[in-house]
Amino acid sequence: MAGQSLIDDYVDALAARLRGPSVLLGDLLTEARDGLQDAAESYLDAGFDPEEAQRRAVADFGPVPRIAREYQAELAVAQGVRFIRSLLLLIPLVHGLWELNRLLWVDASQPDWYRTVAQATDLTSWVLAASAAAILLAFRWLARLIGDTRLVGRLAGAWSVGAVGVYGFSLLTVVVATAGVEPALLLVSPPVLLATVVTFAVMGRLVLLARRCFVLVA
Amino acid sequence: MKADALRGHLDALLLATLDGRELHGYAIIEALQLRSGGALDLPTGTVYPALRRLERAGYVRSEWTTVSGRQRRTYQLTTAGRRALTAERAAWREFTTAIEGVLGSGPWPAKA
Repeated sequence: MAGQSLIDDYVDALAARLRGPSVLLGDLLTEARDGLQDAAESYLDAGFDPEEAQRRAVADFGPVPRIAREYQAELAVAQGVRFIRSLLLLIPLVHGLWELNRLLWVDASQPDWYRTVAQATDLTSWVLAASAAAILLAFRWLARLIGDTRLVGRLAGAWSVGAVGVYGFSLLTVVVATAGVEPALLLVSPPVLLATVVTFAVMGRLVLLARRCFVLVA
Repeated sequence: MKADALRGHLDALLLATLDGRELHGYAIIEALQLRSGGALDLPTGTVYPALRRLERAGYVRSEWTTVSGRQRRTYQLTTAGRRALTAERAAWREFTTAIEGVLGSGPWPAKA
């Protein structure tokens, strides 16, 4: 339809300013396009020509930079939730792998300091997992308490970066401590090597997600 | 009425518009304009993120449905949304009664 170009241009300009989870982004843009088309049809019914109807619909929708800020805030919050869910899923996975290794492969030669490091790492992991679960459980309550979506996005971004820093430090501590107990174990033992590779892969994924949280609210 | 004046009331206005019915985004905007006699002047693009915020808060739920032969995202109040609307209405009545008592009473009687 020849008269679609103004709405297409507007939605394209909005899309160019937005970043975030692709499913939600597509959903938001589809809804925006529907709303613009509904408004244009309403102006058409009121007797305006197609181009003027679209021009008015786009003008009513608001300036792209302002509307993009509001949409981006929603996307940033969704990214934060995605990070928290990933953290909740990945912490038990990494913990399980290292726990298995500690029991099956490095148990016999564990010095006291290694046990202390392992216990501290466990505690850090479970505190992070518990706080992530608490945030998800209290999510609706938090949304009601903090009405400003941009502030929610910033808080989610700050928590994500902090969490990934703390978790990354604790995971690296386990890897270094295991190397300290028996350096060859990290490379020679397939289960320990697997746990190390999975640990670095998990950390890479979490750093990427946390970085996105941070970038989306910037 | 300008957007800045509406900002603090937008959530309550949206909840009131959805009271007892399920509507898609543009129908909500039309209902807002109709009920306000066209006095509500806010960029319509701000309504959609506000609806998502209300959904995040658990006050509304949404789904893609077919309306007039087209797929549209429609919204309806949840139980929590109805409770929030009742509270907003009570707070608004209290506020307007207090303001009306001061602004609507005219000058003080002259001292004897």
